[in-house]
Amino acid sequence: MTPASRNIGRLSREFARRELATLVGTTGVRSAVLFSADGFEIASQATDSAAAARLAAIGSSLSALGSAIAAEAGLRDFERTMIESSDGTVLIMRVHGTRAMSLAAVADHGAVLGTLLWATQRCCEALGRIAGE
Amino acid sequence: MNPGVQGEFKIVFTGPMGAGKTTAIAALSEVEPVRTEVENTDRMSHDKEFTTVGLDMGRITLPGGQVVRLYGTPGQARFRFMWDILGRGAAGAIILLDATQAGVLVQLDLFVDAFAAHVPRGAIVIGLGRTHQPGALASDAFAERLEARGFTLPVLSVDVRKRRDVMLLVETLACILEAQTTEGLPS
Amino acid sequence: MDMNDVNAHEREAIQMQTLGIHDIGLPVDASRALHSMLQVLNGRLRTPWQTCHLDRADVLIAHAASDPAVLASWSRGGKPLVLVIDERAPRPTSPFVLRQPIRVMQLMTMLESVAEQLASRPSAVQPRRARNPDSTWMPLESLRQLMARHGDAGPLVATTSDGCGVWIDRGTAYAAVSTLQRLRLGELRVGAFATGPQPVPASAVAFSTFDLAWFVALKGPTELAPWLERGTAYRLRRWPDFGRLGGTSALIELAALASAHAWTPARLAEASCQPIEDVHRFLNAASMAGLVVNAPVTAQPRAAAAATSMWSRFVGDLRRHLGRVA
Ligand SMILES: Nc1nc2c(ncn2[C@@H]2O[C@H](COP(=O)(O)OP(=O)(O)OP(=O)(O)O)[C@@H](O)[C@H]2O)c(=O)[nH]1
Ligand SMILES: [Mg+2]
Repeated sequence: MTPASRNIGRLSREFARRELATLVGTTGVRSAVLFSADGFEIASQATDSAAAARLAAIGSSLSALGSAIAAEAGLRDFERTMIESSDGTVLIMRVHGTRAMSLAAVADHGAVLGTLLWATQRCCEALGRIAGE
Repeated sequence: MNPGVQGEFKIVFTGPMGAGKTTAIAALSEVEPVRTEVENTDRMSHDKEFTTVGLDMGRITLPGGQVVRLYGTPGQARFRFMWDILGRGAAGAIILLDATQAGVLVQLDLFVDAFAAHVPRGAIVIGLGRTHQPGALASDAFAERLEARGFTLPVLSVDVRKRRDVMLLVETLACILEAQTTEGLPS
Repeated sequence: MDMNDVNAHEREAIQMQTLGIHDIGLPVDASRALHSMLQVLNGRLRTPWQTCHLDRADVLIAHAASDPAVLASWSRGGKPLVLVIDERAPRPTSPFVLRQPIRVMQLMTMLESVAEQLASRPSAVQPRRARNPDSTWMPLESLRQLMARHGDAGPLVATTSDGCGVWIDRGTAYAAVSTLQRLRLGELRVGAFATGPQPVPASAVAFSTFDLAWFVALKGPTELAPWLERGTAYRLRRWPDFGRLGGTSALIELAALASAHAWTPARLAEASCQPIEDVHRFLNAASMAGLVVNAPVTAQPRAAAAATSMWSRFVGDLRRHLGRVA
């Protein structure tokens, strides 16, 4: 058990995994990881668990850098960032809840950008609700 | 890596969680440093409230106009990718350690090996904190460990909350770089 | 070595006298590891080593917790003693210490310095010492002898130039906080150690005799110590802890040069642009604190390079910025 999983009860961890499964069901989405602000994986839908742990750490760095750059520019806090490559997209989005968490979704070129954004946003809202409870 | 050409170079502060990287950079930087600290959920590893997950960045401008960028890394091994990103192209590294932590000699080896790959040979200074606290391992044990592994690197007992002590670390690193240029030229 | 050079062969053969080593008090596995490391190392060291009976040994390797009677009788013979200490044990004051687990590199450096000392004992050290019959070296020599006795000496006291006491008791140094502070700042000289009437005062703080040796030598004679040689190149094996000992920019520069390369005292003075007297004191202090090894004199780096390097400009600028004036 990672220290971060203490943030979210056993039941809601199951719930989180189900929400992530729905997201991964979206066309083109390959994997999804929910992680704490300090880089621990809380729940994931991914074939490679080591890769999910690494994605959690790198995702938390990017979220923190996102917050830093927003602050530098005099903007309010980080909400999301997108890394686009020639064959896919990684979307990192903040989950609003009692604890700081973010979600990373990895999609291949089969994903439609608008759908990916919408589905991830919806997943974050659902996760925010359980984390807030 | 040539400060004469670019007029700018970087020093990396690294070391395990809670060693004082963020504190050291804040003590030395002339501007409010960029921080990427978030809530620490891993109180088993270290009982501190916040932890760096991205980088710290401070700056000092020298009278000659040169700019020294001070980067701090995260401490946990899961952020190793940031060590490599920040270590690349650094003039030197300052490894901070907490003398009271269990397994601190293993941490020494880990960080020396990780950063020796990035900085010019020998451009590493070790700053050892909390040496006056009970259970602290003396700096001699660290120097001997390095010697046994074939490294001759300074291990300096410091309190990074004091600007003067952080200066000592940076000055020592600069002297090592200077000595290397002396050594590098053919006789 | 050039295989065609017969003279080199002959010289080598004369030096190739095997040295005997004996170990006591080590855990069985550590002793076994030591023996196999010796086998591995033989042929790579300048002098061959062989394990032998205690009576024939040139060097004794002993666990720090070995029978004190054996250790005492060994040190009366004046031969080198290598103390083996446990991983987290504090470093004792004897010059040769191996920390467990013993590593090959550590053992190799240690054996080389022990061999060095054995070789230099009768010839190099004695005549030079005879040329210094005056008392200037008394404080350092008395301290050196105390340190070689690895901590069996009872309370001894020396007086500082401001009239305060510095004590040594069973291998640990003691002084008042204010005295230690002034030693650190390089403000005090220390006299020779002798048995004194007063015991160590309860208010005194303990510190390492290596630190004391460093302080004393840095304020000691400006000549090269009798146990060092003008024609030999010296290199730092470990850095002094300037955080604990206090360090001026000049000392940090010397340490940086001497850890990058082996220098004769004169070349180190040239390279650092520092007075030879200061270089002598630095080398004396570093050797007293057990931080120096002699290395073969290779091509000496060109001294003038330092002054023109971009890094020295940088160091200068940095010091001005940091407010640390050399
Ligand atoms: N008492 C004492 N406290 C110290 C000393 N050095 C550092 N500290 C404290 O230790 C803490 C170090 O925290 P940080 O500067 O956040 O450490 P960090 O290395 O950036 O940690 P991470 O970002 O979590 O990896 C601060 O609260 C310092 O005040 C010391 O020598 N003595
Ligand atoms: Mg930090």
